[in-house]
Amino acid sequence: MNAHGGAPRQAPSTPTGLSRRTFTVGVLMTAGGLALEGCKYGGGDGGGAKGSSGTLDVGETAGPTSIDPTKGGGESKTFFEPAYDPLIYLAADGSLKPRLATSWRYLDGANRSFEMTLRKGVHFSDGAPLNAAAVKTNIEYAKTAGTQVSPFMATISNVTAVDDHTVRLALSESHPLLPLLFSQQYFAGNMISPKGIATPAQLAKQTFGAGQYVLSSAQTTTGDHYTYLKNTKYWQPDQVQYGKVVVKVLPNENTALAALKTGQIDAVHGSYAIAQAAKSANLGVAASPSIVMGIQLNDRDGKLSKPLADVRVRRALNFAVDREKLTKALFGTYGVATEQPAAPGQDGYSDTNVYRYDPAEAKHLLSSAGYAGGFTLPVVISSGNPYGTNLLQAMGEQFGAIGVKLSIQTKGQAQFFPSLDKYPASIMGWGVAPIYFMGRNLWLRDAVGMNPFKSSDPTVERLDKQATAANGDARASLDRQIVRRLVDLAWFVPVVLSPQFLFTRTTVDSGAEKGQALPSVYAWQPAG
Amino acid sequence: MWRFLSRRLLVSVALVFVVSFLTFLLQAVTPGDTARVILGYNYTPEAYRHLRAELGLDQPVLVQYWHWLVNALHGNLGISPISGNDVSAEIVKRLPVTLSLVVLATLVTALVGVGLGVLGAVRGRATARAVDVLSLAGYALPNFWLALVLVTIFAVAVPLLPATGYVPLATSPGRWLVYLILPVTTLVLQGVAVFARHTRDSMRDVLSRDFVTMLRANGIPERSIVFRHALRNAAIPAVTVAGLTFIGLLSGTVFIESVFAMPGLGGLAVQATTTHDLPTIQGVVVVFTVIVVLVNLAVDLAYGWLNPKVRVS
Repeated sequence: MNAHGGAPRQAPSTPTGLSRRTFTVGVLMTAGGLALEGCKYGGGDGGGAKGSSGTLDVGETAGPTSIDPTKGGGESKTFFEPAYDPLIYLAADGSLKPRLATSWRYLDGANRSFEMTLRKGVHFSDGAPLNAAAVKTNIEYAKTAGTQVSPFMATISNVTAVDDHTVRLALSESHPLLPLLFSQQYFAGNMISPKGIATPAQLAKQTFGAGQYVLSSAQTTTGDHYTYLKNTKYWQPDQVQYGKVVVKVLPNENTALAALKTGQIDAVHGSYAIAQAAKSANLGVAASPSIVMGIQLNDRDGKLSKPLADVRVRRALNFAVDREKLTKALFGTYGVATEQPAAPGQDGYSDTNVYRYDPAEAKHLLSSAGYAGGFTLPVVISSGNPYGTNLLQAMGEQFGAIGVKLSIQTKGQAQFFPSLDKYPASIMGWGVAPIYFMGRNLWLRDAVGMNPFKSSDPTVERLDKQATAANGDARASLDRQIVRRLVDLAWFVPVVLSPQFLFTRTTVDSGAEKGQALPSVYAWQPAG
Repeated sequence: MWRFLSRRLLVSVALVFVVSFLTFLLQAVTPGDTARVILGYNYTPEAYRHLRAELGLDQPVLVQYWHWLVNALHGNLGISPISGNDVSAEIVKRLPVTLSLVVLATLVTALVGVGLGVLGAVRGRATARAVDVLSLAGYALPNFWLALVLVTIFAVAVPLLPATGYVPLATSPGRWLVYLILPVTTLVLQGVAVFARHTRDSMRDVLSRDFVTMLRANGIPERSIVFRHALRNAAIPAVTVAGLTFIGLLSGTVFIESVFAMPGLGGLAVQATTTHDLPTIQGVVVVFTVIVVLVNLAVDLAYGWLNPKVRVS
């Protein structure tokens, strides 16, 4: 009996018919259960064991263009590197180390004959042996498949299997960087099983490498996450650092950073936008200032913009830019101001400064070229390039001080490259590479890609020809002369070497070295 | 009823054809193509021509569409030139993610929206205003901002929930729900305002009718009047809003799946669009269209169930 007497009072009921008390207890239990479930994922180590038997969880902000290592470019590296070993390994300190090839050498003094000796006892994940015939098939595939690396292989005229483990290359023209070409950095070295090459449809969705891991199709959702399991046929199993590697696509950088902070992933490649937040959260921040940004003055003969035909105008634009100020504003301490298409410590770089910030000199040059009143310069940029857009707007303001008005035209990413010959100038944003490679993409007459008006300078062409056949100090000197000539010609207005970032938790040692390219995923290992 | 259903189904089939054709046409007139995406920037014109021919992109648009249509009618939505995957299989794999997100978000939006709407209708003016302000604030705030704030608070600052990802229902119902809480909450905060306002207006209208006055005069408890009599009548416009909410949330997944890195159809649509992956775009558009058609059909049927007058007409 209750205090008021009469019949016992029922607990008030909800519209569902449950008593309010039962309903409340049910809700609280469900919420508690979910909170406990949730605690497994927040703030911990992601729930998976780390270390040699554990999982390495890597984040990437975009999915791969292709997991075929010859078709995918730098943006796809993290997705194919776990499964493919290169012939030659480019280490974090910049040195070349034996991998699937145990040795290599040029057979002549003019870099036109090259030989590699292959490691014995290596098998691809599908069981096929790595031999000279397989390497020959790979080189011929990369050369003819219309891949990104194909232009760098155009001069390879013949590939011969000297014996089962020796491959010899004959070249129609000198090529000084074949060892680098066959490293993981330039993709031609990532060996694919001949069976994979024979089935291109399979090669786009499975892996056929001789690397540490094999893509598990069952545990992969294309465009979302890619799971790699240990390759049981790997030639040096004791070097495999993780039981499993999972590469997750995290399109939003901020949530990618949150995933890193909470241990859902161990490492993620990202941009300056999250660098400060990552540093504040005591995460590892490795930066490689390696993307040269600025403006390419493509119309060097003045077909679309007459003023650009005059070198004084192009030089004036270079004098009008305050590189130090823009670098600091855009990338803080992570960027490196530059007036050259080269990076400090790398091929072709010169310590000599040509274009100090001098608007008065810029005005004087414009005036002497007959453009004292300035002119309008259309420049094209691809969409989805916030740093490029910011840089162009900042450069536009500084150009405005000498009377040059930038007219910025944005194109969709797929339309950007085809529209380069419709505009006199374009945004510049490419990875700094050895001078030989950059010449074939950017400034030689027959460059494939980013010399849309087929500009040509006899001095640059002559120096390049000499450099291709040279080695050591002689080639380094010629590379410096090429870069200096390009700076004098003012075909470009480089401003900053923008950084690429790798953010890591303390559980991972990426082996990154200051001033060098970010290391490949197969060099990463558990910390400590 | 059957005639009504057959007529709607016929119109729906025609709609799927029209939408698929328009999508094909829009892709064809958009500059850029898959071949350029695959080749990057340093390719020769020969390599480009060769790849275009290999992918069938050199054929007239109508021929390309005809090939796609014939295959689609045989249940084959094609192969993605980017990933090499079978588009049908990829959609089947990703559909549960998107449906989990949208169905759950619609249910929660409906529950919260109806609750707030009823509260606004039966309580005083101040409560109604508070409901309005709160729901409109959710509507006005950009969902990317809401998503990031929720992640920062509930995944990073107070580590209760995962920041990204998805676990299938079959793997673990508990984890499935946990991974959905933040993305669903983001969608709900966006959608609840419309629902609450419609329910409130509808409830106010019903509560002012004569039959409600009669019920009150007969001494029927207020709770019973509100939940058993008024709400059922007020639910008819709410069903329309639920259908529209579902469709709106379906488009919202395109963004939410990217932010929370969920392997659903929205994320697939974004990737396919940026890479000009035509078979995948077509596949996703057709599936989205079919879902929208089915939801509209379900709304029509629900009208009939809730209101016998509609059934008769």
